[in-house]
Amino acid sequence: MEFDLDFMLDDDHKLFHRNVREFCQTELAPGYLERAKKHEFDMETYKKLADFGLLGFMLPEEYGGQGDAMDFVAMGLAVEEVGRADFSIGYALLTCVNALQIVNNYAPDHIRESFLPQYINGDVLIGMALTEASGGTDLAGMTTTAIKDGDYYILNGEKSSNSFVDAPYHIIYAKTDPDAGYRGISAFWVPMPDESDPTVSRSVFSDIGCKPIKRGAISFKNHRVPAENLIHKEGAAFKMGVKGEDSARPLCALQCLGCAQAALDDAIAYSKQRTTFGNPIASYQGISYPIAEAATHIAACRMLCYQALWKADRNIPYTMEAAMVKWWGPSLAFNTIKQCLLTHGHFGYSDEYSLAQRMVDVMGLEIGGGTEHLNKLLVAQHIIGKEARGR
Amino acid sequence: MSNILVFSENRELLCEMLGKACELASDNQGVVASGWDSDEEYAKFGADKSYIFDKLSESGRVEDVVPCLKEIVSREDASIILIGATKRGKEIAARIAAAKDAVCITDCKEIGREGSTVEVQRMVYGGMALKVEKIERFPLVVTVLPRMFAKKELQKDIRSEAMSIPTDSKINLIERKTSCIQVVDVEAADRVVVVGRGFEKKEDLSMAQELADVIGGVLACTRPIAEDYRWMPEGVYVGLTGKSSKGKLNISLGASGQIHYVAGIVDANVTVAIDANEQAPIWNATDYGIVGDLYSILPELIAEIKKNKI
Amino acid sequence: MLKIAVCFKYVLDEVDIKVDVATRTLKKERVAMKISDYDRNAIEEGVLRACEAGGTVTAISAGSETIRKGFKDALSRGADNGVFICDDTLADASAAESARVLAKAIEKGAYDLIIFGEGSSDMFCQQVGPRVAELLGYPVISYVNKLSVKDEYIKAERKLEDGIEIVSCKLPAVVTVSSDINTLRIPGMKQILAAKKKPLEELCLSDIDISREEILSYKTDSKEIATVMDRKKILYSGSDAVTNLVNCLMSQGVI
Repeated sequence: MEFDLDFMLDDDHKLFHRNVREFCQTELAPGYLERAKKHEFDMETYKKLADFGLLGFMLPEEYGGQGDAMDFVAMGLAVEEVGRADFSIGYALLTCVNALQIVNNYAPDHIRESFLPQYINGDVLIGMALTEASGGTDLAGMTTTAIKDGDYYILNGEKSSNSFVDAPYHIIYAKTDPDAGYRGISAFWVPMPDESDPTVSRSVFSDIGCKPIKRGAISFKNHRVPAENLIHKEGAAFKMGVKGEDSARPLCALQCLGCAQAALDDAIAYSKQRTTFGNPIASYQGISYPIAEAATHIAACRMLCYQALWKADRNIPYTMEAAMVKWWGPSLAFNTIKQCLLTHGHFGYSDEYSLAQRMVDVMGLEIGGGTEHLNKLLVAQHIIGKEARGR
Repeated sequence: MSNILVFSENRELLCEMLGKACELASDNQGVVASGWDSDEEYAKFGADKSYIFDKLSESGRVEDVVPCLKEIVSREDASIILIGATKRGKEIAARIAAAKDAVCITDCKEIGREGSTVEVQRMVYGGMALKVEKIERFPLVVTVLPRMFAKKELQKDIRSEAMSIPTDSKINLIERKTSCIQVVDVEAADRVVVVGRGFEKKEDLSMAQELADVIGGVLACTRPIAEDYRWMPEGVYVGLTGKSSKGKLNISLGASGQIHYVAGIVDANVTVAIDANEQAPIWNATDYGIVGDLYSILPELIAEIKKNKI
Repeated sequence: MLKIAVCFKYVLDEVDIKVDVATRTLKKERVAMKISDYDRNAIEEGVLRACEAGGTVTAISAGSETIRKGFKDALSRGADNGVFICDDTLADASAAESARVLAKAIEKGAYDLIIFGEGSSDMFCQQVGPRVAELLGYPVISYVNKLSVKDEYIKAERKLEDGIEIVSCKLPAVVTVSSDINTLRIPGMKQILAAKKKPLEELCLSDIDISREEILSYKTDSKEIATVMDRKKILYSGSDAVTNLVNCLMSQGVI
């Protein structure tokens, strides 16, 4: 297997890394636990991401965006630090690489001009609804339809497990051609009407983690969307989303690894202070070995994430690496955090410590953004070939 | 003949430095005081000579004295110049040092002389280390912190001269707003409770005040609480550039333990801390502590102490 | 057009410095460097004032080759160009040496307003600004936490032990600033990349008529002794934590 080797961050990225860590620790980390317990996205804290320029990732400078100043490696550094400080806010950064890229690259100009500056400024959230109750991985099996009627499309169906469900705008994936599999899926720009409108209803799930992102369902009953809100063209939705999916995967993994690192740092500090039988517990290998193992795995996974992003920046295919870290990273993070909780003994079990919260938060990304199964299948297909294609 | 010059706009500090100046003076060196107080006061604490400045006018500033001090340094051929380390004093010291192409040591903790070498000690890296310097280049300017040296009654016969201060400063005084807030004397307190950024709002400090009251102590804070948040006056912040907590007990609440703060509690007999962050550096500076939410621990602590006091 | 110079010091980041308890020395290997804390506020203040009054900001520093990277950071914070006085005798330069060198460089540039942090985060001598002012014959206003520039005058508020002093003076002038003068904006990638394109002038000692011997004559014989904390570090936990703590303190006679 060939591999690419370039381990150093250049000076610009090093400085950015220091700055983004400082930003996250001073502006985002304080109050994480309190915010994590509420089904409410703190827009004030979120807006600080805008002040630092993170929401403008790969978006036009004319709208206040970063242009090409930030590459994927820089975004990786940012997402990792944000995940370390406040996990749920990290989701907002993932939106930059999927929903926002679709809007920027494919949406009609009138939508780009009005929405992008608002988004970059941190004034508004956006959701992207692909998944349905009947299937997330099986996207081609979606049943929400968008049937053309004159100057409108009529949406019917229910999207489920969508983040930021009460955002004012959503990109809705629906079938314009119900019989055409994934080639029949189109994407629509759908501003949400107010609550009194009977054609759209939204509900928020009561989740065990990532509560602030308000995962939920949106149901459409003959909801009319102007035809000009079709993004790009009919049947193009699946292909538009693929590029964003690839880059989102290492970012999801880094978000989880950042969170795990925070837990690991807590466990390390605790193991030095807590004494039993006259010794710090760090002196017992039952405590230090799991820490060493977790640190090893995190270091390895982190490197693979950055390699994937480094390739993304150079237009070198990285789908396999992205899939590798997407199934590996969140699961590794979960197990690490669980181990850190156990290191803390019975204190770790308290909800006044952030460990349990971090654990349920990262678990969400073992499911969302592409499940472990889907990603392992992708890796298998890359390595084994078409024989590994799922039945 | 080279003499030792001592200056401060703060009388107490000037008198503290006079004793040290006498110690540093070799047999043929005199100690010269310059300030706004009485020459009797200076004589009492060891000055052989003094320059008494005219009272500053309404629009006059302490810093206007710089040309006078330069003149005195020349006249007295001052080899060592001790200046009180107030903010004004430090600006003045730096300017004199530059004018005389001298080395200047700021906020010294100790000065000693061995032959023609002067050894000075001061804290560096925010209190992480003590820097000991041996200097053989004169004149030497040193700024001295309040209460670093004790006054010594060394009654001398004194010669005095009045000096007027030039009024042609390029800096115009527009207004002076003196703070009338009476602040507690943290350095004299036996028990000190220090609040840090772990507190979410100003109103919550009342809980900490209650703790201070119940243990018979005073309430102080870390620098950010005074300087950035302005929840408490500057005169009560504990740290390298602030007050020292050096009594029997210091309790830190929600202070993460940055080195600047920790430098202010090194001399406290027993240190206690409550903070939510188990990775915080405060634990290295703590004798007894609890990791946890101060909002739930503090009321419990107050109640427990009250219970025991009955 | 207001010409502002901001002098900064690139120092070891003290959070990375470890103490060798046995030898009581500071371990400074592999310690990252940063722009001294108050100097960051000084740069920010220069940028804010230049923006408001219309002007330019030059970031100036003196040191050995190790401080070169500091200019990327300074320029990313909004300075328009940099001036680097580079010589290996200037490594760990004292306030006296730095002031001599900076004063000469500032004189060359004919700046209207020169801003310093009140002191550096490593040594905190709080001298360089006033020393430079004295060498240049400019007025100096120290410990400023509010500054405004109008026409050829500055108005400043100084925070002193006994209260606030509000002063003004005509430019050119030197100002030293406290950390509460402004809130720092942290530069993102865009600003970091833009820094590369900004001009950096390099000067050596002979360009400013100072000899190496002069610099060396200020050096003193010094050593650093690490302060070692000898605290008990006993942490109480669990539901009895508070009770145990209070009992302990009472048994020690401190409450």
